[in-house]
Order: sequence, then structure tokens, then C-alpha cells
Amino acid sequence: MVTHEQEFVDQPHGSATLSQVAPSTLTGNAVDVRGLWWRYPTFSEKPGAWTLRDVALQVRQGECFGITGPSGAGKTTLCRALTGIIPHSTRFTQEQLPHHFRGQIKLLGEAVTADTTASHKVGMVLQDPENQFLRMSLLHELGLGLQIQNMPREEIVQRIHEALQWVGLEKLWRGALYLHPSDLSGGQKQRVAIAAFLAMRPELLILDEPTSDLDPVGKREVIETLARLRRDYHMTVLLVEQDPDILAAFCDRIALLHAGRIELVAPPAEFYGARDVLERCGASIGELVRISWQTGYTFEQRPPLTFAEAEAALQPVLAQHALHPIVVAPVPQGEPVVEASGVTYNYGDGSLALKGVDLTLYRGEMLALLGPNGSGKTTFAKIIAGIYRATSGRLLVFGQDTASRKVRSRLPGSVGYVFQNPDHQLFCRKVSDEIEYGLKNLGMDAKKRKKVVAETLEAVGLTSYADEDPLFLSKGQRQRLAVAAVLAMGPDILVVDEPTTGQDARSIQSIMSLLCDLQKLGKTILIITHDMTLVAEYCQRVVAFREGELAFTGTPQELFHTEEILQRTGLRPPAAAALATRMRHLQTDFPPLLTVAQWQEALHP
Amino acid sequence: MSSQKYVPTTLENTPYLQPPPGRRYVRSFLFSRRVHTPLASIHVLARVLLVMCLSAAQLRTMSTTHPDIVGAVVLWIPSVLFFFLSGMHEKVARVYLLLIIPTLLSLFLTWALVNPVPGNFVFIQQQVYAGFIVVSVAVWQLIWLAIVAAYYWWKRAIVNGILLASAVALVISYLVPLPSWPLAQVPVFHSLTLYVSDQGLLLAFTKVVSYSGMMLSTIALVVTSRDVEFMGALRQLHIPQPIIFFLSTVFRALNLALNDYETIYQAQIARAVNAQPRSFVRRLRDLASIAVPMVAMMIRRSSEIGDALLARGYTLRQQSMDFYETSPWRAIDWAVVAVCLVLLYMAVGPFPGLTTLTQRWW
Repeated sequence: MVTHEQEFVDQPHGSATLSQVAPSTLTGNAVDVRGLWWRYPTFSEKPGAWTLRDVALQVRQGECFGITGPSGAGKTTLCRALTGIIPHSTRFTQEQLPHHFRGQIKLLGEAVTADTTASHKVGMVLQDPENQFLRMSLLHELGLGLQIQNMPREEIVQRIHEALQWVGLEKLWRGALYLHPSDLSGGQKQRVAIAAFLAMRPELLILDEPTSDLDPVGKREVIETLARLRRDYHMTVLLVEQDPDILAAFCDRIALLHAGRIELVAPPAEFYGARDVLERCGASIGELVRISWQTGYTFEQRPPLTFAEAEAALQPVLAQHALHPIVVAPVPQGEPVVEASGVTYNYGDGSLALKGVDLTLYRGEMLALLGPNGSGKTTFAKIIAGIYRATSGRLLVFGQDTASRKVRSRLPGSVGYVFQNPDHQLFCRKVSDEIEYGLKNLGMDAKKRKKVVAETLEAVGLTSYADEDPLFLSKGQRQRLAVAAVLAMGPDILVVDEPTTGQDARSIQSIMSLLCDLQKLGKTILIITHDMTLVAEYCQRVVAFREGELAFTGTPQELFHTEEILQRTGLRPPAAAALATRMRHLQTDFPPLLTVAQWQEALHP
Repeated sequence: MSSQKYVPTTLENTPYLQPPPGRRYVRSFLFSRRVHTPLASIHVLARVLLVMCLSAAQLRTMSTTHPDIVGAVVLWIPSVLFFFLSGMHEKVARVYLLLIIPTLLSLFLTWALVNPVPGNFVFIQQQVYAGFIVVSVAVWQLIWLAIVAAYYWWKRAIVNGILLASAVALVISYLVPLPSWPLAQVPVFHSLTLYVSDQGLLLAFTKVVSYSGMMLSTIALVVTSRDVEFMGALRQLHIPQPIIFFLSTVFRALNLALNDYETIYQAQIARAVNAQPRSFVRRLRDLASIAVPMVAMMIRRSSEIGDALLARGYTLRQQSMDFYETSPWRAIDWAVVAVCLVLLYMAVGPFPGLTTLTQRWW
């Protein structure tokens, strides 16, 4: 385990080295769940399906226990059950209860009751950093839990100051009374949420996908905090997570939850060896493991989990010296569709979001807009879509100057913009109306509208839901609907804002194959993303923003295999590319591979 | 990683109560204000009371029978002072001043022109509306209807047709005497006369001065107040805990809703709401359709906020301690209360008004 953590924390930022992990004091079970069944109440007579089915879990004290599984597997429900929120805040009668809840849950040797959350033995950090920031200043947010306990003011101050140091936010202590939630970044808010619980000194900390809504910088901040908590404070942590790298690096054991059942519980090395189960359940798998699965090279008869292990596993390859060269077919460049020269954008308060951007986009390319939050990539995309107006500079979309208000107002017909959260962009109470909404705005006649709606629903596989309320679709379906609603308007350029954030492997696959199909039809696709694996696998060109300027324009190949460009853009290569770079240090003629598929091609046994 | 113990006795020991380093402005309820601004050092309750009493006194100066222009001008001075002492961001202040000017101008015109206040000098006097509507059948109505119908048939739009028809009907009936057959006279509202007198102008001016003072002091109050202060004040007023907590959650939810609104509005633009000129009704409908995603977001957020609250151990039964929410009531706050009493006397007491007093004194 030690090596994993060192690897993970060291490799990206080179921050604090974890010298050693304290040996686990295995005194008893922090969590003991037996035969847990749960189903949510429905509004009809017919009972719903069971969300949790016969779940049994034992988490030892001081252990870091991971839970993973696809969306809708019941991960969040399990967390809510562990804290006693269900069934104790549902107000079931004694007769109703057994129809919804069965089984035993013990935390720290005591049965979970309605008072478990108020006992402050358990903390639970949720996915969305915004929703769990409950007060309007940092000081009050941190103090809330202790204030409820009626603790003396001096002790609250001392405890929250300590907690803030634990999560590495000491610098925010000065001025905590005046710091508004909007003054903090997502990563900082998530760390504040962790600190708010640490101040209550819980014995068990549950983290429900704490990093899935964050950008890479925020992710790293939270991960480093977790590493520190494990190293220095030896707390029992239950981490629900999609990211296989985080799970492999921090957890002593990982459980796979699928359709409400625990399918597998094992230490990481063993867990990622169980290929059949993982593939059947659609769990997210790290690139190193996938390379090992595809090529057959293993480390001690199991897939490698770290770069050092992967290098060791691939030693036989270096001896061979007979690798299949990778030929990447060049994509023919279409005609320019967007031409930007010297585009700037000025926020209301006078700060510059874009400082003169020159860029040309071509028909039929899939292009990634990269860069940290606040680097200007989203602003640029919104200018292309006519949502913002460039402060100065010239931006032509299909030869039309977007400085004109009339051109901008008609732009949604040729440039589609899909926002990150589908809930922000579904305006109607019926799926088919939702698709019709934009068409009506464009002034299409009723007969043609009907035809387009039917075709679009067919294309995204939502025909059978045409009369449903979008509110009741699953997150993946809502996202498809959001894309479909924009798609129906017939844009030639499609901007998609972080389509894969917080989604499981299958949803990512589904949304990306939809985008690839569109690209084949000649549409230009712009993806705003933080997911470098996605960039390497799907995008032909990359545009990296930094502080409102273009830091790099070129192919993923150039970006991920040139140290200087990576430095300049502040980006990180995906594991498959990083491994290839390490192999090239060992053997200079090793091909610059980018993706798992390329590794398979180069090493096919 | 060592922990330090804090004994909060002096300001040096309480860095968490000081403004963040390098920051000149901090966020208040809706805007932002300078960190140390004189107005903010007054207790929020005293501030609210002061602005209310000041506004009441200003209302009194606008009496239609005895406009108190001297009083209005004198009371305008503290209002403006508050505005400049509020620590508002210069840019925001400018925007609000710009917004106030047209409001005041239209107020002045309405009061100066259409309200007949008898005076010593009358500058203009002309009736524009007699106070009743004549119900009649007329030729111009036929012309009007024909134009509206023709326009609708041509363009499938109604509002522009009505405007065009009204303009044409007005012009034709002005140029050519068209026959009409009156049926009845229905009194509606009262007669309107363009009537400008010296007293009318004085009253209009007093109103503009007083209203602008009220607006400026209210803006100053909103700009300086932080929601934490409100919570503290409610606590000092012994309002039940669940209500205070509910209100503080509402403040936070409002902040989240504003951010959501911004994104949803942009998503609507991305779906071509502006692609075609829209009728007023259509605009209203588009605005209403924002409610669908707003409600969806609120439902999803509220269930998570509920979980987050429960996870912190919040229950309705608990009484929570004060934790840097309340601020002490100091000598300056008593001074403000004294000023409030004077203002209250000016507002509702047997006070003849500063104008009368100065006239007597002269």
C-alpha cells in the first residue's frame, strides 16, 4: 500500500512524501452491516425495486474502505443508511418499515438509530460542494456542527482552527468571518466540508464521491487531504469513488456495488485482478489495469497498479525490441468554420477573462478545450455560441461576424451549446416538448418540427420516453436529452461542456459514441473537459488555455509527449501516455503511445 | 502539524475576525462593501431603525398641503452621507445613481405637470382628459379594426398592427372630421389637466429631494448589511431558533438560486430564445419557463442540503449557542436611537416643519 500512495501523490505534483503509514490497529469493526435491504417509497400502490439487496459489509477500525460501482448501484443510498438518515428520517410506521427496510447496521459496535447523526461519531461529505456549504461565511460554516452541540466559543475556535490546518487551508483562517462561499473554489469548499466534520472529531468519516464534481486541481487538493488524514490521524474512512486511481492508491480494501448487491470485496491488487466481475458490472477501470488486461503483461500474476509495477511488468517488452509501429491516420482538414483573431472578453468588474485569442476551427474535427477553471476556455466557447459578446477582436462563425446582435441571436441554429448540468437546460415538462422548444424558437413550422423531433428521439434512443417528464429520467438519460435538444436545432458546431464529469464508465462510453457519430456526419465537436483519457482517445486536436491566453494548439500526441508543453500548459498526461514516456526513458525508440488501444496494438501478443 | 490555542482577548489573537489579507471589499448580503466602513460599525438594528425613522421624517416633508422644502433638503444631507459612507463599490454606486436619475425625472414630471396644486402663479393650464369616457360608434373605429385585421392577415402579428392602426386612426380623425354617434358617458378616474403652478413645482421638487434621499439611504442599508448580522440581531431579539436557522438557510439558498438563474438564462439563449422578435406574451412565457429548471434544481439541491444538515447533527429541538453572530450594543447605537427619536418627532409629532420654522425665525 505504501508504494501506491507514494506513487499517486508523488507522481503528479511532487508534494509531501508519505514516509510511512501507521500500522492498522485492528481492534474491532467500525462498520458492521448484515443483511441490509432497502427500497424507497413510491407514490403508487406498487412497491418499487429494492435499491439495496442483502448488503453485508465489515469495515475495520482505522481502515480506509473504498466502495465503487456504476451510477444507480445504490452507493449514496448505502451511505445514507450508514448514517441512519434512512430509515430514521423517513417517518415510516412500524407496519410500513419492514416493507422498505430490513437488516442490521452497527457503527462502532452500536446499532444505528435516529440519534446517530446527532452523536457526531460519523461525518458524511457529499458530492456537490455547493449544497453542503450551509452558512454564508467560512467561520460559521466550520462552526455550525459544534455550535449545535452548544460548545463554548473558545473550544469551537480552537477545534475549527485545528481542522482547517488538517485539511491544509490554514491560509484561509485570517478573515474567515468575511469569506463568502463564492470566494472559495470547489476544491476548497470540499476541503472545508471535510474540516467541518473533522472539527466534530468523528470516528468514522464517510465521503460520497467527494472529488467527482471537481476540476483536477480541486481533486488533487482533496486527495492530498485524504492522504494526510490517513497518514497522520489514522481515521476510519469510507470512500465512495468512481476514480480507480484514487481507490487503488488509498484504500485497504475495495467493495464493488452493482444493482444494490455487493459483488466483490478485496484489497486493490486482488480487486483489479477480478476482470470478469468488473467488466460485467461496468466498473471504472484504470488505464494501467486495462493495458495489462489487453496485453497480458502482469506484475506478480496481477495487473500493475502503479507506474513502478507497470514498468516491472513490461520488462519483457524492452528485451523484445520488436514493437509494432503505431500509424495514426491523419485526419483531413476541412474548411474553416470559426475564425477568431484577437478576441478579448472583459468581465463586469474589469478583469480580463480572455486576453486576445487567435484560433481557427475546421469542419469535422473533434477538438478539446483544456485548461484549469477560470482559464477562459468556457468563456471562449460561450462567445462562439453567441451567449457572450466578445469585448474586442473579431470572431467569424461561418463567415459571419458575431459582433452583430442579429448574427448572435441566430447563432444557436448553427452552434449548439450543451451545458454541464442537464438540469439547467431542460425547460419543458415533456421529453418531446423539450426537443421542440428550440425548434419553435427558430421558427420552424409545425409539420417539420414533428418530423425532426421523431428523428432526434430515435437518434438518441429516447423514443419510448417521448411523453415522460424529463425530471423523472435518469441522469444519463437527461444528459442525452440535453444533447438531443440542442442537436435537433441542426447545429454544425456542437460545444459540449464537461460531458463526462461524475459519470460512470458506461455513460461516458454512451455519450462519447454519440458524439463520434455526429463527427462522422461532418459536425465540428468542441469538448470542454478535464478528462485527459478522453482527450487522448477521441480528440484530434487540443487547445489549451491558461490565464486567458492560448498556451498550446496542436495534437494530443505533441501535448502529452513533450515535457516542455506539459509544463507550459500545466496539464497532466493520461496514465497510458505517462507510462509510454517512462518506457521511452528506458528505451529511446519506444513508440510514443497515447491510449490503451494503441498499447494493445503495439504489444499485441 | 501543531495546533495553536487561541484565547480571543484582543484583536491580534483573533485573525479569523479580521478581514482577509489584501482584500479591500467583503461581500455583504447582495453586494460588496469596503471592509471598515463607518456605517457598518453601527449595530444593524440601529441602522435599520435609523433608515426607517429618517424615511418617515422625509415622508412628512412631502405633505401636499405644506411641502417642507427646507426639511427635505436638510434631511437629504444625512441620506447622501450614508450613501457615501456605505463603502459601496464605486462602479456599483455609479450604476445605481444612473438608475435613480430617470426614476426621479419621471416623478418630477408627473408631479409638476398632472397634479393641479393651486399656486400664486400658474404657468400652464390645459385639460387633456375630461374624467369620463364617451362610448360611441365611430368611423375611425372601423378604420382601426380594418388595419389591425389586415396587418394580422399579412404578418400574423398583432401588437405592431394595433400600434399602426392607432397612429393612422389618430392622424385621420385629426385631419378629417369623421362622423361618430355617442351612446353613453362613463366616468372613469378623474379629469387630467396639465397644470403647472409655482406651488406645484415646489411640491415636485420637494418630492424628488425626499424620495432620492429615501432611496440612497435604503441602498446604503442594504449594501452595508451582512446576513450574519441579521441572524445575530434576530438572536438578540429572542426570535425562536428554528426560524433563525430557516432564514439563514433561505439566504444561502437564495445565493445558490441566483447562480443557477445565471446558467439557466444562458442555456435559454443557447436554445435560440432571442432568434426571433418575440411578443410581450411570448417573453413572459419564456421567463416563466425558467421556473421549470429552477424548481428542478431546487428539488435536487434541497434533498442534498437536508442530508448535509442531518449529517452535521442538526435537529429542530436543539438550541444552538451564539457563535460570533451577535454584535454588542454600544454607546454609538444609543446615540443613533436618540437621533431616531428626534426624527420620529419630526415625522409624527406636532412639528410644523423646518420651512415654517425658518419663515417664523426670519
